[in-house]
Amino acid sequence: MEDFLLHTSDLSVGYKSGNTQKSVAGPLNLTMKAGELICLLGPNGAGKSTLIRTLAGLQPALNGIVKIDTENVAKLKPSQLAKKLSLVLTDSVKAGNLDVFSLVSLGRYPYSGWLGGLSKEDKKIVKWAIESAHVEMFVNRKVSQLSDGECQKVMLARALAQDTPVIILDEPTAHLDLPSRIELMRLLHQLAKETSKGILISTHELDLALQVADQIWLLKKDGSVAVGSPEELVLNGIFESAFDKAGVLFDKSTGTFNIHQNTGKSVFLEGNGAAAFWTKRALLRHGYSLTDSASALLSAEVRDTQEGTTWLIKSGDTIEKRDTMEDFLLLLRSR
Amino acid sequence: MPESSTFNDQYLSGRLSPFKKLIISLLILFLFIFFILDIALGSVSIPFLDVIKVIFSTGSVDETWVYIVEKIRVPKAITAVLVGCGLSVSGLQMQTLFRNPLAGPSVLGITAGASLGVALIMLSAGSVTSLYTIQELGLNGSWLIIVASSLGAAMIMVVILAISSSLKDNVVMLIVGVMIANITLSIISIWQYFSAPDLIKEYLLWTFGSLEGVTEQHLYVLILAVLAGLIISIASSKLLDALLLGENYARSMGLTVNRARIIIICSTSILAGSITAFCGPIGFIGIAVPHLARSLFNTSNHRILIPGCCLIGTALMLICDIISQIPGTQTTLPINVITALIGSPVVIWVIISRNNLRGF
Repeated sequence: MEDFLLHTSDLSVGYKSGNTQKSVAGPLNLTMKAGELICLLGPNGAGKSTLIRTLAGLQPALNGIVKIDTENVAKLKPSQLAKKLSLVLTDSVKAGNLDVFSLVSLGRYPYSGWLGGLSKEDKKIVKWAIESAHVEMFVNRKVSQLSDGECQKVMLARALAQDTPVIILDEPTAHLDLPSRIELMRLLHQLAKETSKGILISTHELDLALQVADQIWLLKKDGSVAVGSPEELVLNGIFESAFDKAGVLFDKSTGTFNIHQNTGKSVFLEGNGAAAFWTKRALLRHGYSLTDSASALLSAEVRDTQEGTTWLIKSGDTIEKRDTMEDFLLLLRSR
Repeated sequence: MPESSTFNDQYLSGRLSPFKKLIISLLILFLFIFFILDIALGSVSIPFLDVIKVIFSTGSVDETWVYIVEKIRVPKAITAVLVGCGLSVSGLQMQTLFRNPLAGPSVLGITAGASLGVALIMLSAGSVTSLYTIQELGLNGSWLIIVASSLGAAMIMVVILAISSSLKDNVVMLIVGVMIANITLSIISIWQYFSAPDLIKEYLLWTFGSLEGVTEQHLYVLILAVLAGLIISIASSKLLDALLLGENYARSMGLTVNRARIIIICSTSILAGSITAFCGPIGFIGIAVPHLARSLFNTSNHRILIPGCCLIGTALMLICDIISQIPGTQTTLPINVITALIGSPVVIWVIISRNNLRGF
C-alpha cells in the first residue's frame, strides 16, 4: 500500500444537486505508482472529466476516498494539496499579457512568500521546469503569442514547477495537431520515467495512449472501470467492447479503429514493408477485408524491388502484374 | 540559443529592466510637476513663486492666497492623488477578479451601489445625498457614509460575482452589469422624485463628480480609507496573480478561492465606496488606467501593476483636474466630463485592439 502515489477506494463520482445525487461512475478502486504514465480513456459522457475533477479535489466525491501519499485528499487544505498534486486543465488562459516565465513561476505559488517573491531555490526549480518541458525557446513571449501546442507545454511547465508527486492533465492533446500531440505524449512518457512522478491524463487519443501508457483506466458507459496494461486490455477484448458502436470496428491486429464499411470481399495479401502496409490501407478503404488464409478467392502480392513497386494478382495459375496501386485496385475490382 | 541566455540572466535576477526603471522615474518626476501645477493653477491666479512659498512655508504671502492654497488647492490635489490611486487599483482588481478587461467600478455598477449606500443613509436621516450635506456632517458622519457606500459597493459586487459565475461571455456580463447599475440608479431616481426640487439640483451636481468637496477633516478620513484599501490590495497581489489563470487553476495552486474573493471584494469596495461617497461617481479612471499600466509596464504581475496603476492613475487625475480648471479662466468644468473625455478613447482602444480584449 505504501508505495502507491495515488489510491482510491470505493470512490464514486458524480454531481449533487440539493438532496439528489447523480452518480456518474463508481465504485472505483484505482492505484497509481511512482513513475507511471496512466491514460484515462472512455467514450464521451462516461465521466472522465468528473473523475479528474474529483481526484484533483475540485469537486467532492459522492462516496469513498481519494488518497495521495497516504493522505486523504478531502481532508487536506488547498495549500497542502497544492504540494501533492498539480493540474493542467482545459480552461483557456485569458491573461494574454502574462509572459511565459511569469506563468511558469506561478507554479511556485504554494511555496513562495506572502507577496509571491521567489527564492533562489524557487528560481532553480522554475528554470528546471522550463527546460524539462522544452519551452525555453519562447520564455519571453506572451501567452497570447503562443500556439495551442506551445500553450499546453507552458502549462505543463507550470505544473512541473509546482513540484508535486502527482500531475493530472485533462485532455492535454485536445486542439493540438498530430505532431504536437505525439510530441506532448512522448514528453509526458519521458517525464514520468525520469522524475518518478505519477502522471494521469485523460485523452481521446486511443492509438497514442496504447503506445505510451503504462496503465490504462478505461471508463465504461455503465460507470465501471477496467484497469490494465494497454496490451492486456486489447487482447482480452475489453477495449473493443468499451467503444462498441454501430459502424465502428476495432482491429486487434493493428490497434486501430476502422472507419470503413466492409463489402464482404476478402483478400489474401502477401508482401512486407511500407508498400504492403499502405496497400492494406487502400484495400480496407475500398471495403475489402484482409484474411490470413491463402485459399481466399482473391490473392495478391506486393513486391518491393530496386526498379520500384509492383502489384501481382493471382488467380489459379495466371498472374497479372500492375505498376501502380491505382491500376492494381482497378483490376481487383473487376474480379 | 540566444533567447535562452537572456532567459537565464534577465529573468532569474528578478530585477526590473533599466527601461522600466526609467519609466518609473519619469512618472514620479511628472507626478511631482503635475502636483505643483495643479496647486499653482486655478480660477484665482496666484503667482507661481508665491504658491511655492506657501507650500514650503517660506516668506510672507497675501493671507487670502495662503488660505486658497492651504485650505482649497492642496486638499484638492491630495484628493486627486487619492482618487487616481483608489479608482485605478479597484478597477485593476475587478478586471482580474472577473477575468474581464472591460470591468471597472463605474461600468459594472459598483459606484451606483456606493451611491445607493450613501442615499440610504441620507434617506433615513431625512435629507438628500449631496456634497453639501456630507460637508455638514461631522467626523462620525463621514465614517458612517464611507461604511454605507462601501457596503453598497460590496453588495453590487457580490451580486455581479454570483451572476458572473454562470456567465462565460464577457460582453453578456457587461450588459448584466450595466442593467444592475440601471436598477440601482432607478431606485435612487424614484427616491429623488419624492425629494424637494432644490435638493435634486444638488444631487445632480454631486453626480458630476467633484474633488473640491473634500475639506480638511474629511480628507483625513478619506486618506485613511484609501490607504487601508491600498494596503489590503498590495497584500493580496499574490492572490490576484493566481487568479489570472482562472479559479480552477488558482485552487489547484493552493488558493482558498472564496477567502481570496472576500479579501478582494473588501478592498475594492472600500476604495471605490469611500471615493464615491466624497467625490461622486467618477468614471473611466477605473477601467482605463489598468490597461495603460499593462501596456506601459508590459506585465501582468500585480506587484508591479498595483504601484504602476497608482502612478498612472494619479498622473491622469491631476491632469484631468488641471484641465477642468481651464487655466486662466474663472470657469470650472465637472471633473467627470474630463475623465470621460480622456478615458473613453482608451476604452475604445481596448475594444478595437483584439489583443487587449483577450489579454488583460
